[in-house]
Amino acid sequence: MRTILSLCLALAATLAMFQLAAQQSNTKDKQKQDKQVSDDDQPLYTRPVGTKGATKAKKESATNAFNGIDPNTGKPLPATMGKSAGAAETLLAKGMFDRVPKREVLMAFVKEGGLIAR
Amino acid sequence: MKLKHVFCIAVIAGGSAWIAQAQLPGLGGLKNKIDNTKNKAKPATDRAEKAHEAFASWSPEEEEGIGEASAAKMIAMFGLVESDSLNAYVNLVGTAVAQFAPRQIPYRFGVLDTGMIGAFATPGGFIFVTRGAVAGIKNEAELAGVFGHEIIHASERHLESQLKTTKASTWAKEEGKAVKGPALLEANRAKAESLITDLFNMKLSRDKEDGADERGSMLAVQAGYAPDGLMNFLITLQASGSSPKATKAFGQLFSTHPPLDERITKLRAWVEKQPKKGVTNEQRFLDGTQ
Repeated sequence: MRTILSLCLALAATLAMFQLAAQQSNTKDKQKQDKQVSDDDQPLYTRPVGTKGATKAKKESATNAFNGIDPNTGKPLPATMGKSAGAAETLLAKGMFDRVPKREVLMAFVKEGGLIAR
Repeated sequence: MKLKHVFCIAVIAGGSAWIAQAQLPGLGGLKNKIDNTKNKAKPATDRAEKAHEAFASWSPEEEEGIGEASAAKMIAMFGLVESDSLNAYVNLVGTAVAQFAPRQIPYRFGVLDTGMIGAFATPGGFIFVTRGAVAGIKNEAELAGVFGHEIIHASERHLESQLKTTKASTWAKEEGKAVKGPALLEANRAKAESLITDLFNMKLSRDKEDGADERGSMLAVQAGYAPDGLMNFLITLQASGSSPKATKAFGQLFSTHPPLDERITKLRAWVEKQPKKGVTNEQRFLDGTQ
């Protein structure tokens, strides 16, 4: 009776060990997969662009991910192509004109950089 | 004998008069036929006029309206990197190059918030470079070369002419109609949708791309930059290989432009003929884009 009980306990312990090992293996695989996905979603060149003076949210947006690109073709996803411009985007497009530098600012930039003015 | 002759002449004259009379209604019919043909030809003339309108360049107002709608669509797709210092910097570099553009329109520059590598020109002088491209560019001369390429596309209306060729039949009908107010905005938006779809799927002709590489680099040289800026950036892209990540980053560029090695070879031949001078302003570029 004692032998049978010992055998049952040993079997239960072995099964528990196998289950634990399997769980650990699955966790490692998942972590590896997550890392792979995360690496693949990083841009080819990772130098941060446009983070100086940006808010935290904007900093994250300006440093991460391909954003709307099909991973297989590199072309914009249908969902990206399907996005339509609303009032906010139209305002941003109009606002691009406000960023054109004034003549005197351009001349200072040209002079500082050793460029040529027309 | 004389009487016979007189009789014959009378018969012939009478016959001729009868024949002539019979033919006159026919001559009237001929006139009608000419008139009908003229009337039938009128719609064809109208169509030709509409086609001419379709192939004629957009007016400055049309170009600005369609360009603005296209730029808004691009911003809706990817978003703009909203950093005041970055936007000020790219507009300074772009405007320094655009001073020498063959056609002077208000060029303006923005950075699209995507890791994809690319640069785009929509009508009306809206020029975009992607965050992914800026991250791979090493100095101001390279950025100036990229902007020069896009400025040439915008200045020489490459996209407009290509689209008008491929969409002549449908756009001719639309452009034959005079639209104003909200209808005009809607028409511009519809054209922008079509234009952006083609921008991401259509190859411009090899001549236009080669021309934009060479003349765009020339604009950068005229502004005082080193002539090999665009070429060096293309070499950086080529060196990045063909990993899945590179395919993802370059997919758009490869599907709409000639192969990199061909572009580099042609640019190298041009660069070797240029005087070895011009600035690169590497540190200013790194400060301006961080």
